[in-house]
Amino acid sequence: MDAPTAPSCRSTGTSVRRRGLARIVAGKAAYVPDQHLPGTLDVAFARSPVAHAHIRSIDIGRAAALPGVVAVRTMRDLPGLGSLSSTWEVAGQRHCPEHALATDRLRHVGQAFAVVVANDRATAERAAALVEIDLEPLPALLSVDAALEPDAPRLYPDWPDNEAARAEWLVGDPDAALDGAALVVEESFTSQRVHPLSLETRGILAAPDGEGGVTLWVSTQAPHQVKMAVASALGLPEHRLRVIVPNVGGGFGMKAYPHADEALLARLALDLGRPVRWIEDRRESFVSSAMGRDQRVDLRVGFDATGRILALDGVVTLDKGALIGQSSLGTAWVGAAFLPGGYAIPAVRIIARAIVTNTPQTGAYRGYGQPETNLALERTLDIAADRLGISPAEIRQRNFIVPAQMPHMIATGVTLDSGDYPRLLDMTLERFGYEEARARCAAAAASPVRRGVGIACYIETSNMAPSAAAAYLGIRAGSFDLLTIRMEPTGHVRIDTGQTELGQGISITLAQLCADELMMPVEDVVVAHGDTALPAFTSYGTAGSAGAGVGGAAVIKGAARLRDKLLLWGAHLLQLDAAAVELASARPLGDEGAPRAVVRDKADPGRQVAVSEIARAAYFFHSAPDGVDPGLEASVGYDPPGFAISYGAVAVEVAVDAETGKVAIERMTFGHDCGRVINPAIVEGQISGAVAQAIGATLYEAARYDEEGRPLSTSLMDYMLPLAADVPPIDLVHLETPSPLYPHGVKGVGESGTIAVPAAIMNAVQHAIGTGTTLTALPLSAERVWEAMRTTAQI
Amino acid sequence: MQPTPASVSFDLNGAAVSEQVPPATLLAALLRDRLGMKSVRLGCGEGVCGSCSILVDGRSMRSCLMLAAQADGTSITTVEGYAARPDLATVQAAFVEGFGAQCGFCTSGMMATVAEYLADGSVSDHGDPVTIRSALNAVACRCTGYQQIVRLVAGLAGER
Ligand code: FES
Ligand code: FES
Repeated sequence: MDAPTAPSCRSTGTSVRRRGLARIVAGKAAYVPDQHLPGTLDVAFARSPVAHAHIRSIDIGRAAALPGVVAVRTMRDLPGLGSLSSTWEVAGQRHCPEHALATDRLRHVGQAFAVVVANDRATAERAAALVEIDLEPLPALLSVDAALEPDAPRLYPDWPDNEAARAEWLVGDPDAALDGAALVVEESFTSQRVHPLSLETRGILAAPDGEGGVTLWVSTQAPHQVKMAVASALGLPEHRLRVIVPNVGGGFGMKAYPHADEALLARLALDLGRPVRWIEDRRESFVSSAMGRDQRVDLRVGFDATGRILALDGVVTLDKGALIGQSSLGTAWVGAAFLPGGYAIPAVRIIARAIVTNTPQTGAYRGYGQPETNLALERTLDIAADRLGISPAEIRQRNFIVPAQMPHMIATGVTLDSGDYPRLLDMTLERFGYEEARARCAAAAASPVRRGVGIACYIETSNMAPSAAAAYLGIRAGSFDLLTIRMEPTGHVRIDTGQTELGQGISITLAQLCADELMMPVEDVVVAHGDTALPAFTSYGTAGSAGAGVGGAAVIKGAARLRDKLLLWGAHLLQLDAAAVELASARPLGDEGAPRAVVRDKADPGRQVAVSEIARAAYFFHSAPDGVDPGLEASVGYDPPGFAISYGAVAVEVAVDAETGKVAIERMTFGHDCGRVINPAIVEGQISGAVAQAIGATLYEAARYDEEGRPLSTSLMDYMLPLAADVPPIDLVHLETPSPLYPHGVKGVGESGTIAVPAAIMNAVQHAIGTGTTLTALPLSAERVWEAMRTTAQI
Repeated sequence: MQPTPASVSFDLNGAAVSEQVPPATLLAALLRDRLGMKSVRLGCGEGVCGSCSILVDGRSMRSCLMLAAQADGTSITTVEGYAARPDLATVQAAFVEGFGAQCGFCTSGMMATVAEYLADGSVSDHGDPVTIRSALNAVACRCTGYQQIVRLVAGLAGER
């Protein structure tokens, strides 16, 4: 007889130690710069000194003559090297092929126009400086306003203007509703351009495989997309390419899409027959990687006298920089689609548009447009609350979509799947001590250190829509995952996933889900990732807060398939019918050891066979169950059923130095609901990391350019990253509403921390300095806050 | 004409090292490229981010700002040498247990900073989160938001 079933050793819900940390602390993690192949050549680029010019000619003679230089190429010398087309493609979108090197025009300072390959990086850089270019300067458009002037020169002569793409939503009659509103708040909110700035820059190593193909090591979130893009640009069949992702030193969206330079490196490796490597240096990262944010939201919102929103009319304008790039208007689109937030808004008109300018391109950055539009609406709610004489908390409560209305499709067509927005706000404010804090701030109104509290709520898109709906979103990619789960002959499990480990902890997260499904200890599951040669595929890259949701649901599906096979094999070994057996976690009688997974007779649980024995039998068998393949492997595809919408509420208390305008964030309570939590420590790490990035973007990070379009930030000395003392302790409040759409109830969390923090801080600063001057622009530099206080004092 | 190479000798993770290097060679380059100390990460190469920090005579130093020649006669510990030193192995273990790293790119510098902080006799309360945060200011981490690192350092301080 068997002991009663041991309590199953569930690992989900616990903070199981992350995979890969032992290698990291031992210094053994290997990023792209740590990969070494004999005979590797180094690459450097010659980059544009001007923001806009016609290229008359390029002379590579002096560069090519420098000893140690192996090759110098311009686009002209690379016939047949194709371009990349956008991942986002909405109706009516204009086109500008993404070439690795400029063809006939330079459109931003730092755009590459020639590439040098040399024996070492220093030589390559010296030669790059010797490439001569003859230019005919063109007027530079350095802001969307300049680009939108009716007579503005066009960046792309075959376009009618400088608008790259646009999308519109119209529901109800917003004009009539605004006309009838008791209060209309109308403001323009801007979120400045920032650098996602992963601490490890981008990096590429490309090596010919000796059989006409190329292997690339790339610091990327999207190996499969890189493979597709490179294959298409080179005209190579995809099975000739392999993309390996070693350790990645942060991505944050900046590495979520393929880049034309990846195709260029692959081409150079093939042409030269040697490995070639480019490690982006910190300085060039400010011109060669896509920047984030840079949106303006012009918003009109109408309220009735009780603070209920009647209508919203908004224009989201994205400064796209010089390239439509991979994300096109994606960040403006997502920002617009999620602009209404968790509030019931009956009439809506929103336009999202992307405008090209002579600056480096903008693209994906953690939050993907949502922080920008969240700032606009959450600021507007505070402004309205103040004018209507109700509290910021109350105006939100009056407009929330409530649980009884879930699932609920908001005006922009996004369906909120589940959640209790009012309750989470209450919980957050209670933990924060909101009322007491507001009273405390009022007491500091005239003191040298002003105090303010601010709140903001957010919703966060995660897990992606079904692949078939991607077209509606304008995405030329699916959103599904393919993966393989194999139980080895020893009974241990290996998952091959297409998701990429970026340090966010996806490996342990997937292992935990699998272990629970198969009733195994999590140590018995390994996760292989980061190699397109694995039998796995992720169709949109590891991005969009979809790893645990989509990648995780694929694991659940694969594990269920594997479990079915185990049951068949187990029944076969027990000489029972498959319907008569079950998978269980049990400890043999008299055995003090850990419980193990078994397949057993439902009617007689003592009749059982350990899963490890089944595994052995499946590989070393003499008789197999009828119609069952040998081995224990399951390959599955999982297409997400719909967005899972995470949400939350942020409360902050700030101190503002009345003399200098300097803002200090003293404490923060962060209430969030990301559905079922697989690993609490990983969720905490995701939120606090994103919050730190949001604090930087709210207070001081800014990628600026001078009047010639030259970047003013080109190093970490003039681009400040938030340090430990800039980030307050974050008090997390958890609510868990499993997403009904997903088998494991998981919603994404990777971007949550970025979304409402800017608005909460701006609301707090406004509260601290009084409402005389309305704050609408980020960053809240000391100078800007001081200026607002000075103007207020003069009123 | 090539400048005369400088000869540098120091103790690296308990072993004597002697190298001839061009005088302008940075310590980070010598450690990473010639001596194989891959734990030395370069996040900026100009002395700001701290990811290249190593322990030089027990003090955390930015190896991208030091000339190799300046290391002459010192004792250098990189992360590769932590496991052999019980005090430093504890720091490693705490980073693993306490989710002290995500991408890991800052971690070598972060651990050097933490080791120096914990050994700093002038700090009266090593467990004070405010003091910890100001010590951690020496290294930029783009991933963690510092929360879990502050907690694990407080934990290490409590164990002493
Ligand atoms: S690489 Fe040395 S401080 Fe950044
Ligand atoms: S863990 Fe990625 S920079 Fe610190």
